Amino acid sequence: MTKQRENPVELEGFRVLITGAGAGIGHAGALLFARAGAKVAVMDVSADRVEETVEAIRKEGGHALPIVGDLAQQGVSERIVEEAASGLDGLDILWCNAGIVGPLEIEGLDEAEYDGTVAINLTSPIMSCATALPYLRRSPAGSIVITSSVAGLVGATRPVYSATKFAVVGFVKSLAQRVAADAIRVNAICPGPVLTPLMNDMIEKGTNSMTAAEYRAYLVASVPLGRMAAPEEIAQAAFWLASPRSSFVTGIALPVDGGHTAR
Amino acid sequence: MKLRGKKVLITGAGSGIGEAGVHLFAQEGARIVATGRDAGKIEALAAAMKSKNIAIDTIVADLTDEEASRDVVNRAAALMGGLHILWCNAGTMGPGEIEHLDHSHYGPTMAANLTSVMLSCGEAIDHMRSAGGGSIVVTSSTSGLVGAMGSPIYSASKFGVIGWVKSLAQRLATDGIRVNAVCPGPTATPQMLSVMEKGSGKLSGADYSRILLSGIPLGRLGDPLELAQAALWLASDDSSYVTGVAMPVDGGYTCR
Repeated sequence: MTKQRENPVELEGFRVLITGAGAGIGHAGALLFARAGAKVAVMDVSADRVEETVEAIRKEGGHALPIVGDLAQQGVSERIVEEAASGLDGLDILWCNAGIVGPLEIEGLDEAEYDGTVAINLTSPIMSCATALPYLRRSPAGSIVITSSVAGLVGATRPVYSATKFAVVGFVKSLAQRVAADAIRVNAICPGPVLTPLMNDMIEKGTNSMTAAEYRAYLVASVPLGRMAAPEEIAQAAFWLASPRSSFVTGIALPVDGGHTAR
Repeated sequence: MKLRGKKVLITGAGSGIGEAGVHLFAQEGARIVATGRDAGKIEALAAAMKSKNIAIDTIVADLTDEEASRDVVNRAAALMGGLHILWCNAGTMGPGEIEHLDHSHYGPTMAANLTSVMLSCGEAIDHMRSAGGGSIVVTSSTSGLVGAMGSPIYSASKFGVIGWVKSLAQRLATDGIRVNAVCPGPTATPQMLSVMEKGSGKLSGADYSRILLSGIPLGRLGDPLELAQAALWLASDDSSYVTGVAMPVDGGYTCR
């Protein structure tokens, strides 16, 4: 028994893997894709959050496949793609959305924290893409989306975060050229400040010169639209770039930032 | 129905991307005023829509005329009882001349691609404020992001309009009016196909075409409908947190 959906045939039958889908942007995206008729592999490090998202999708009559894993660990980024392709019988869309904020300072940098940030934000998308390509080649509309950040276009407060997010944009623009002949598109979304647990975590930690409240106000003031984004607004951009409606779009880093990078 | 209940003005609607846009936007539920300077093409468009049982209003106007660029917006708003979305799509190719220039070289291109856009936007703002917000989309070009192959004057106009978009986006953000540019790469429009045949600047048609296609990772021209899809997304509420962007829709042309 399926609930009436806004776009019943928009992505009917499309096989989609979303990482970091347990909360925030990924969770909003998983619901959006499922409502559009896609079969969604919901991947996250938290088994509880994966289960919640999968249940939310199934409750609406959608199709969801749970996948749990820690993308910082060796081999996991590849394993989850194989699991998704196996469980969904192929793959059309890969959305590498998982990410962490990383350290604030570079002096006294903890090597493990640095390695973990690079592992999740950069190495993981690369390895997942590499594993996904053979499946995406077999799709009539193969599409990769990677969640970068405005911090991948301009300098953010956290230098290691910016480094990984700039790197992901470089990867997208290069990979887009390499796989264009296979009709696989590769794009990045660059969210500005979004109302998610990750963002909240970063704000609560503050910076060395600002309290959490000051940091929150600073972030809002940096956005011409005068507010932070709802996760759904970011998910909509990933949805559009993943879908065949953006069939001539590849190699772009799309700001979804309320005008932050327009100034 | 991404544009249900929305009142839309599309310029440069007589052919190519604008024409594809009228068909697509109407399909998505928009109420449309379509304008272009070629009366024959505009009439043909209206007839084509009528045969689909879709009523659109049309205005024949040459937007290189400053009064016309302002007027067309106010007339559209009057016809529809308001305006939510303005898509400044009209534009012209640029000449290849770069030496001993006079107004005849740069004037028409600047008038069509830049001045007209500013004037039309300037009239739309009040109408959109009254509507509680809106969305402005401007068709720039990949030649507004990187140097055009044949025409520096064209690039100047298309870079210029992106500057306008990014600055205007900041000014109108708190009015709930978003402003974005779509940057088509090489697209199969009558204009582009003509340039590929005749050449541009010092390049022959054959050379121009070869160089052009070799620079597009997806290996083909864009279809006008693909460009219209991008304008649709930027016009619609689905892009509610997107403003001040210049989005390449170019098969990867600018990612290298």
